[in-house]
Amino acid sequence: MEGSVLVIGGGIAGIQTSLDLTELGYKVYLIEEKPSIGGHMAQFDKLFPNNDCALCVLAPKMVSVYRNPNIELLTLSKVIRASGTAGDFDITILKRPRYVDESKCRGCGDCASKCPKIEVPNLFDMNLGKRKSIYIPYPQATPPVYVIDPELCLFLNRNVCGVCQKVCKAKAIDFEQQSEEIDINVGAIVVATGFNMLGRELDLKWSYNSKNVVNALEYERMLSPTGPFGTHLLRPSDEKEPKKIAFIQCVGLGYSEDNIPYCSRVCCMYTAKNAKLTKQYAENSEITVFRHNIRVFGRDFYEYTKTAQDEYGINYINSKIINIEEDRKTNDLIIKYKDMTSRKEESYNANLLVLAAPLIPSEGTKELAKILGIELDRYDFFKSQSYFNKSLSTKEGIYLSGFIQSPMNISETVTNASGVASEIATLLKSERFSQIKKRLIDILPENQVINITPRALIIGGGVSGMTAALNLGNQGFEVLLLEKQNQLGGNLNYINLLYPTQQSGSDFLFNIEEEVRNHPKIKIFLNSEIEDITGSIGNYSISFLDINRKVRNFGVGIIIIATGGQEFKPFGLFQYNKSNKNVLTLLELENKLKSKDFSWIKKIKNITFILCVKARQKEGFSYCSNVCCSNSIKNMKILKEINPNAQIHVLFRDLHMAKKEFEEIFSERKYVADYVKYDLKNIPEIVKIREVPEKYLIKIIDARNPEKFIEFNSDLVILATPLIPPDDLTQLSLLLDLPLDDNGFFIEAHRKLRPLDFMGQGIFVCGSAQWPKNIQDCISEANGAAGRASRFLSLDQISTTKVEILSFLLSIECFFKDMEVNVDKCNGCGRCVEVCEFKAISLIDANQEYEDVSVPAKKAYINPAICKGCGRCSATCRLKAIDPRHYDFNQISAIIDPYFLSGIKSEQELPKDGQMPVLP
Amino acid sequence: MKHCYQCGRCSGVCQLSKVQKYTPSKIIQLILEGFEEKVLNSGVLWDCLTCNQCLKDCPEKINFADIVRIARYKMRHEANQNPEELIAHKGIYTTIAEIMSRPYIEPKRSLKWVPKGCKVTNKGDILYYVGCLPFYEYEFEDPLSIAQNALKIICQIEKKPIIVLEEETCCGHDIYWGQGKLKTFIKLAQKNLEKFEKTGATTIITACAECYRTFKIDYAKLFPNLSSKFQIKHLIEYVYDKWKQKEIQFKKPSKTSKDVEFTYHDPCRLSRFLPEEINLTDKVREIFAALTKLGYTFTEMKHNKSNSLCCGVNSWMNCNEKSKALRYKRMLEAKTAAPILVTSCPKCEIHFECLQNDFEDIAEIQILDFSEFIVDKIEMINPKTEGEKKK
Repeated sequence: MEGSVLVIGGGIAGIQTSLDLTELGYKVYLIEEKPSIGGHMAQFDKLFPNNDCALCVLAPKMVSVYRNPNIELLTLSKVIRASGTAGDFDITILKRPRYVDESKCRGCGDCASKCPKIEVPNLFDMNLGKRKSIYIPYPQATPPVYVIDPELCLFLNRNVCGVCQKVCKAKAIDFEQQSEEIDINVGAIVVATGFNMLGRELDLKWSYNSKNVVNALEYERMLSPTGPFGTHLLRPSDEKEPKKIAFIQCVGLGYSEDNIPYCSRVCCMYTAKNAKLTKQYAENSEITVFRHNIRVFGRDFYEYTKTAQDEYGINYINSKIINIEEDRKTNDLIIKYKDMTSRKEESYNANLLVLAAPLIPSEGTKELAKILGIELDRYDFFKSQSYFNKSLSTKEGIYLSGFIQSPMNISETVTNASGVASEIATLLKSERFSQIKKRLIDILPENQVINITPRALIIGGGVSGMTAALNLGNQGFEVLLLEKQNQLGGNLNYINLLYPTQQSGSDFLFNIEEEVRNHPKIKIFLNSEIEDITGSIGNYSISFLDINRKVRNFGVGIIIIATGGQEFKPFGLFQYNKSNKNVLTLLELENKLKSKDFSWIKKIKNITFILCVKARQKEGFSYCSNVCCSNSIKNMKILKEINPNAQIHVLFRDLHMAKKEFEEIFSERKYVADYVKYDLKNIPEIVKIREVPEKYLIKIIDARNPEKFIEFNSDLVILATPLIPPDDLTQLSLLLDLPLDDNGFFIEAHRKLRPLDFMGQGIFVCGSAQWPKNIQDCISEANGAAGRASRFLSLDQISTTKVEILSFLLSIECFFKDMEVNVDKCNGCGRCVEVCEFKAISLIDANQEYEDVSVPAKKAYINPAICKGCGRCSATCRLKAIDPRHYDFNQISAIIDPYFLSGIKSEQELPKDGQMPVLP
Repeated sequence: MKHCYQCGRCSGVCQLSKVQKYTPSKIIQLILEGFEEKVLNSGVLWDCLTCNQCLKDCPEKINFADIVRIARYKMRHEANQNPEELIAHKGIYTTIAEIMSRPYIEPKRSLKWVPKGCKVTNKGDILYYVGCLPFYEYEFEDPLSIAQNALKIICQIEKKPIIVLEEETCCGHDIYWGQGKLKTFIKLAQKNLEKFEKTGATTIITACAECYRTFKIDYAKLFPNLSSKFQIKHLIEYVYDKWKQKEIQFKKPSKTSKDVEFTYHDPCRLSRFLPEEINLTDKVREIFAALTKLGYTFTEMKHNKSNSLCCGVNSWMNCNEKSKALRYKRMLEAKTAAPILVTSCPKCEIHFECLQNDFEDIAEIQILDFSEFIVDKIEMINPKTEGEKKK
């Protein structure tokens, strides 16, 4: 067994996996084929849905990878040989020469400014920008070391020039560098090689070869202020501002040979984001989005696409593209399309066209699969061992992280990366901390040490809670699993068959439940009710009522929230009430199907499914519930198998398939049922026309053909209702001081980079507590949350410095974390206690010592485990008794004073030739 | 100030120096060496308690409090400093005083507090000067009981209407010492004097240590003929005189009464701030000695008379945890001495009572003003002597 891990790929998946692994106690070799880590995320301008600057949140993580003593970063490298088994792999890495000494280069850029070679397209800017032959891909590139392009460099090719070597003051240029092979031994391998976006493949149908057609990645660079056109939004052909910009979604999707058959999962969102950003940068531009189905996968995402239409005035047209032509004179694009609402063929003239091109596994995936000896699936993604745990490849010891499993967005990638790290921790449990360099410099007194109780509390015993419990249990930590109902499994108890694996829900539940029940480290408390939780990271004390209504008290180190969701019961809508036995929700149908008594179905002739009941609308639930479309289609197939004569109608608004594995079922949908689209203006009506047996008349106006009024009878009506949070979540959120969104779901610390954490340290969230998730995502998140949690649990003690270093790695938090109370100045007025958002400050009894009297006084005490370093207390304190540690008031004023004060002076004394006077 | 030879005793005895860095001797040296501007600009002199402990111990009798007073005037008017943050109670009481100093503003103060059985007038012989006590009613615990009891005592002895002015203005003490607003102080003094003259009074009695010192010393400097016009007496002095004139005598404690053990806190304004010949500290102790003979128990605190510790706050300046520490120190001393603490300065009483809300261990001490303490302990000896006195 080796205590080290090889991570292939330095995008956000690789970065997050590496960082989490080092915190769990493993040495990491991170290899990246390009000169810099960061991957595609570094190319993005902003991130949906919060419009955070992408590089601003990514760069700190890149730096912490670079600085981390336990991550060996190998750029310009790739794996060429691999052998061995789980726990002990022999890897050979080929490292290409950079021709610049990484230990010497300081990234000043003198070489690039003097390099005489004409500029060539920069790959980072999607070949829209220019670079020299010695270059740094982008200013924040990590490592911040220049690289020589061996194909362009005059010295390497013709042995002339060598100017860079002359101007380099650090003597870092080394033309003698050769490719080298590096042999390493690792315990596990993580593949995080990411994606590519289709480009030239789209030439024929989508006119990608036209000058003013770009794919979405290129458009990201064009939008970026650091991109090829700077702060202006220009089109490539004539570098003029485009007035009319068209976006086409679902480009190249389809089931024919040269198309990509699966949904890339992110295009609807980034198109909405880019459209919104474009509107912000160029207010007068006219933006049209040619859409197919809107498929969005996350909390607030559906609302995000809604605001693009409603608030930003972006025109969404549900359409089918017929063809695209380029106007030879103006380089404009003429888009011919069929409007799916009016059923008319129309054309649109755009100055710039952005294609939401499909994402495919990155180049070299096949080659890598061959080297590692793992299998690919039919779409060239790496194949997973099971549908429900995507991070295991077909070979033990090799893990998949991020997009390479299946298309996913950044927050899912980060979640997944944490999960992969924790699964490796389970595999290499015995080797923890064996190869790690001690990286703590304890500069704080001993009393700042926080002891960690190595026990976890998991609230909720559904599939997420159980998976997290198993993961932590397997890592060797004690787990308390609290469930408020009288059985484990949550919603899984009601589910009949799990698609696409065809596995029975109860079998699946039985297996996992059996494992949890027999686990020596996991204690299960059914019918429990939480009374109180106090404390902070490492030392929470909880009290709850157990099955006998007895109060139980425990101390735990961390808390994972896996409270899941429940199905909304739409009483009063669509004839749903207690007396109508044949109007069912999806879960009720599943539960009925579980009984295996199908005689009642066989009698039924007409079945109607209604999707989006009360969902995705302002009056009701604004969000999309993610799972109902695929569940409905799954059940349609099952019903049809039982009763092939039944006629099924589906009333839908948009169709939404969560995973690429569902696409096959989705592609067969047309053979199973008749689809009728409705919109919010014309919500279907249901009238009961017969009591026994029940019969309903359904009236609907087809949204795709507004003149057509449809009426038909139905014996069974199935309602796909949204998944809503459990009833008593508010109480829990108040108890733990955690935020809930408008819909009642938990809000995580950061949408993209800390999707499983809360702002308060030591509490994590997974599964449907955040937003409706399917089982696959729940398992991925549960593993991720367990991984995040075990970073703390694996340490007996953390000092506040350690929290500091951890949070530095987490990067989003303030760097100057701890606030420090100057006990002599503090007079215990308690204003800081009032303003502290995190409840980190309390007043404690102390004595103020004077020369000849000792006065009892109240003093503020800041719990370093809770403090986030926001500085509100410091700003509030009238006595300036609270300062950020290592960044106190005197230091700040010392920084400001010479510049600020003498700046005023020097304005008057400024000599005429513009030279600044020397500061005192 | 030029007599200072840097013995450093002032810095040693300075009460403020016990809780924060403060060295009068160094300040004096700096000023003498020509760094006056630096001292003023630093604002350090706003911190001074003006308790005059340094004067008491100074071999050259340098009046450091006076230096501070003048410096505060300069700091305000020359160095453009405004000590707003340092003024306690958000400056409300000094603002009231300032408003009163304006020429056309005549305060109309309610006399509802005057106890039954006391007759008040606006022309006569004896004037009782109430001071700021009515203004405190809204913030502190029953401050008017001092005035009520003082007036009761005077009425009981004099048996004739006493002058209590409705349009009384502030004595200006806090403006003078704390704020460095000399002009306002002079305006107030002029206003007061005009009013006193109108009443035709010859004796002015006050129960307040600060008012007494201000009238007796500071007004006298402004108006040299003041002492010839008016006789200014503190209530202690008045009671003492009447007692010496055998007009009144003290009662024995009743068997049920609990307030037999008491101690006395000398306010700085009645001890260190007065010339030695006035000697109120001894006078009040003579009264206490008489009471002791009657069965009361008077215990001295460790620091007494002119060594008395400061109540921590002066002239509404600098109420903070340091001043609280000083007060706490004094209260601890009082606690070891007796369950009742008597003082003769309303401000001291307010400051101590305020502290009792913060600290439980000293909350049991009963704090009384001299008037409240003495009112039920005096009785008239011979009412007939009143006629003789008039002659």
